[in-house]
Amino acid sequence: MASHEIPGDLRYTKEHEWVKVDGTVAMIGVTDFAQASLGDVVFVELPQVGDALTQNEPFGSVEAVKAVSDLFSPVSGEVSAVNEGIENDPSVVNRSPYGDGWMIKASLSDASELDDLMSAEEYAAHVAGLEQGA
Amino acid sequence: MGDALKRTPLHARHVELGGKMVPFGGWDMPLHYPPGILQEHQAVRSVAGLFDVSHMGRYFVRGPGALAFANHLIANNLAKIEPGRLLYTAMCNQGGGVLDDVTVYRLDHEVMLVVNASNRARIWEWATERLAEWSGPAASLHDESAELGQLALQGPRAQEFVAAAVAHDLDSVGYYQFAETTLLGKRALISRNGYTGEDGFEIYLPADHVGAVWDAILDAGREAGMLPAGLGCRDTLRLEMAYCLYGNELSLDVSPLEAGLGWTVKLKQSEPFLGQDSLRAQKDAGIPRQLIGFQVEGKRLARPGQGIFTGAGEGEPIGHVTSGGFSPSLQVGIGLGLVRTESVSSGDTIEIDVRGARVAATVVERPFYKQGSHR
Repeated sequence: MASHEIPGDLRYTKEHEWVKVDGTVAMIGVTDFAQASLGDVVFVELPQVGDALTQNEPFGSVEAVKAVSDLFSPVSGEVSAVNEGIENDPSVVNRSPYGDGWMIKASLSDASELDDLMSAEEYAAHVAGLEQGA
Repeated sequence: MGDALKRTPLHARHVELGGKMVPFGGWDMPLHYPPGILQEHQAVRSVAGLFDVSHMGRYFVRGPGALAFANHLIANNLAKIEPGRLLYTAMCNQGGGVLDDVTVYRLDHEVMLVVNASNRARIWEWATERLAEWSGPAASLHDESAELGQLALQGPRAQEFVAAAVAHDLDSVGYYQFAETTLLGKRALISRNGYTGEDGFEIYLPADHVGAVWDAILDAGREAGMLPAGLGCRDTLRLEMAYCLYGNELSLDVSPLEAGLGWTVKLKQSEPFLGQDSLRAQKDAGIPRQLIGFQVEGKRLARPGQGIFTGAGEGEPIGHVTSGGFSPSLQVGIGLGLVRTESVSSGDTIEIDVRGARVAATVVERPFYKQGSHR
């Protein structure tokens, strides 16, 4: 089984989004496991700057060749930036899920929500469990 | 329950190549290899791709009544083709519902039926039951699915990567024709046909020889950019050609006339085939539904099962999406749908319920992709 990159400094959802927090700004994307499971990404539907985010609620979707998946927000807040580069080249999500393939930035409304998310170790165990079951 | 999945003779090679293995019709098959669906698709359109289709079923009908019994099972007419040719058609139940779509090879003294992996058991049961009732000249059924492997080599340059290994001039094998020959010194049947819209071949050979031939073809095409190709691009390629997929366009609840396969149904043949009366009655009464192709506006993709509505966007759906997705060649969303006959025509705008949102689409002529190299 292929191993998936899981950076130690991020927090994760069980639906395979990651969030990187810098002060009150959260950067959000999907994990390496997610992009590998989805396969070639051909379109990402993202919210607009100013839209409200609610933790665990969908904020967009990813269309891969084979399937579509909802994106679930790891945190509540307000969208402050959207990665325009994805629109021109959705495959950046496959190539660089933690870098140029980031999806949105948001201002956090409740930093305590981060405690509900998984650490890298917890997420690695979650992924390992899914791969066992597969 | 991964251990319950069946494996083709090439399974270890798929894993070795880094294939993303998924369950398909009871088989553990590669969805794609590391290059991914889009690159594999492009390789088939521009150079060639090699598919393992050994999971399909290969049944032979033998005996003096082989031709007559095989013809009884299918909606097309084998008597109209010479030995050395094959045809595509539907196998129907008495109600005219599609049990499977099949390719049928007319050999000198026997017939080979190639059936979908997901329908193998059902077709075997169906055919043996019908044989038990058969009162025509003697025929017998033989399942050689395990003894034989099957490859599909598809792409505009397919022939050059296999020609050297074949003891037969492939130029003499026309579209929907085949040769019984040898490949790397062992017996093989090679037909010029496929499921992608490109030129290419289906190759049938002893199961213990499939690995060597797979390796040799990949070696021959590697430098030119040929890739091993998985089920993912097999689906995107066939959808661009608007070819039917069993379980999507075709099912027991759909007749071949509805699914656009009327050209494979020979209703006037004198020797009756299973489903003939029902199909004839359906044609006389008016075919209730028809298959359409559509192109979606914007980037959201239609997916199977979603409702199709007329442009007004109100009222009941006129039908549903049977296949939908992204066309790598055309870079747009495309799909097929089964709708009420004459509810829409080419050029009309329709709306599709994509996960609660109405997405506009235009009804277009099939196939979507018109530059294929098949001949």
